[in-house]
Amino acid sequence: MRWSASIRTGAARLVPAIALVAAAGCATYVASNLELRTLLEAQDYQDALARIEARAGGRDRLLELLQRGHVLHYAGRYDESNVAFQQAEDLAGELYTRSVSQQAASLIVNDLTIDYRGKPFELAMVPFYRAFNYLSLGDNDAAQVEARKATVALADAVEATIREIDRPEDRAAARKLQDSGFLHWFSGMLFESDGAFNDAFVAYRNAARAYLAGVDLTGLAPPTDLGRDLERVGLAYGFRDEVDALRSTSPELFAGTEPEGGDGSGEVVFVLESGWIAPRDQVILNVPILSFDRRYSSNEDWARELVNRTSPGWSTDVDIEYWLTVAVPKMGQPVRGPVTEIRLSSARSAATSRPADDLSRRAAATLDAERGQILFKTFTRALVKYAATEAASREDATVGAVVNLLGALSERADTRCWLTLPNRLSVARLHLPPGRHELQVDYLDATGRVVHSETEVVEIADGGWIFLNRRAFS
Amino acid sequence: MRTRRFKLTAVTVALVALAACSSTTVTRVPTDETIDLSGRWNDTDSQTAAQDLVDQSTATPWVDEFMMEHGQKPAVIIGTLRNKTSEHIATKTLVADLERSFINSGRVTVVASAEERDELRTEREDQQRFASEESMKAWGLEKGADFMLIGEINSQFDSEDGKEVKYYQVDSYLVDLETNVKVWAGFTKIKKFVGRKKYKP
Repeated sequence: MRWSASIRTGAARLVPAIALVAAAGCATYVASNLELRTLLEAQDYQDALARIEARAGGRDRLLELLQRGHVLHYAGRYDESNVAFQQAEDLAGELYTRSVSQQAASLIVNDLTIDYRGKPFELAMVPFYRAFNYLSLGDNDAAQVEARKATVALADAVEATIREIDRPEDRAAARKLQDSGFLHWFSGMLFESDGAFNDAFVAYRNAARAYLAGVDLTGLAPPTDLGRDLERVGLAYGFRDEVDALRSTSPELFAGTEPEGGDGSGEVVFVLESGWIAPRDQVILNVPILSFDRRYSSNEDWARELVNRTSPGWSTDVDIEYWLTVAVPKMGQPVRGPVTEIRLSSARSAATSRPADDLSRRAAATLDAERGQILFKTFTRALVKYAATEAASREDATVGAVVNLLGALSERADTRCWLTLPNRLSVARLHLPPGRHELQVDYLDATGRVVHSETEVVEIADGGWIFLNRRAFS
Repeated sequence: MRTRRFKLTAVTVALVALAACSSTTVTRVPTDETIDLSGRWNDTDSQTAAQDLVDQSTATPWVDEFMMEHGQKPAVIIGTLRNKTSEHIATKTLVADLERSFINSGRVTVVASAEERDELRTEREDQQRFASEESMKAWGLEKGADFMLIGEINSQFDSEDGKEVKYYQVDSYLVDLETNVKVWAGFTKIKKFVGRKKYKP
């Protein structure tokens, strides 16, 4: 093909722009960062940190801090982990203020031009890990602060998310994410361990309500240990009426059999983190622009109509003028991992872990709540790119083709997410008398076969609590 | 001429660029200047709360009553101030501020904390072996506290649409170490409004 000089000049001017967009790479955030999981499975924390450091800065600063804090936690570098998590919390607070220039760029390029602000369930996990950091450092007062922060952080983060959502039905879906039975329960246990029985009962009661309201969200029934906690603290500290009311409205809360975990005034709480959270993935959608689409008065109305066209199946008698190609996020599959539960045994008693939270399902519910807004914004951007292509094509067909190519190359879904989080959290409880105990921890697969075992030595004070968390990477 | 002007422009541009690259600036500020960055509990809150509590406590009759009865200033030890907020607060700073305010009030004697006493006793023990007899300090002459100041910090935060109200309350009590009688109870409150911009350029 022979090009005229003007076309060659126009195309030549656009070459650097194309190169720039192409250089940004087509790989999604998840694809580029999955190596982190491999490094953690190998417990190669130093390389994992170096990997995070190598990609530091830019719009993913919050993710970098969250993942850095997380890796440092597993590496046993608790002080440094707390510093990274504190920086993450500070940054998340600062990111409440939206950048107009970033928002404008996202309407032309893609959502990756916006600072990552974190999903509510992600930000809510920060106090959980920080509480364990402080417990490991022997600072129980600071762990109590994290317990008080835990559920507040989730509610605040959901409020910030709701602010981004226009459609009332999506807002209602987002509000369901505002509570976490597990975080209330965990806070309650920390309060009880500190002798704050009033706070503990309130937290247990909130946990019960959140678990009951969130069965559809997490697929998990309230843990039987929670019912026992409610009963024990409620009856001992003057909440009999409330316990009775809960028992009559929600008998399933107290459906547990006799305590499994032995007897004694001391308590061991073991939180198992298993698998890998379901990441966000990218899906390419082709949506038709029809000949009669010109009637829409604004791009907003048009984009709303296009959202409805994402379902497959088109009649052949409609006149399709153009196919818009857009990239939107979808949920990938969680990695369940070989370990699904643990058995905790002492010389006197044993207990098996029960599922307490499903972070992958929380991630999926978050995307469901955001989907309408994401699709609307994606199609608004696609129409801007389409208009630019049309305008350029009217001037020059080749330049139009190049603008179209630029639009396609820059189209990428925002799949950013905290990749190192576990898929599920499970809790095992063991009651033990005061003294030194050697605990056998058996990591079990779905068939109950022991995958591997380890020994933990704990020193329990009279009425004391020991909190342990362990990650089964593989 | 043109070359000189070009060079001058280039140097100016380079200097401006260099200045722009330097992202960290440090400015010395007076230590009594109030600087609120995040809205969290800070040094100013700690000093304000401590001064307010000490002013309240030394203005009440328990000091005079003690002096009339014993003929000397009461000895106070600052106990634990528990942080019951959902924010990490350096309670040791508040304890130090309370100690300083009590000492500076001139109305009471402040004795060393348990942690400080351990260090002092180690030093005294060391003196028994290495110091001269006339300079060596004797055992068993420590001044025991008459009262202990204890307390806690509570908070309530309320936020909506980028606006946040932070309310802190520091409750403290002076307890007679012999009888467990609370001779004084006081509190101080700090309320803050934290506003966040919705948008920036």
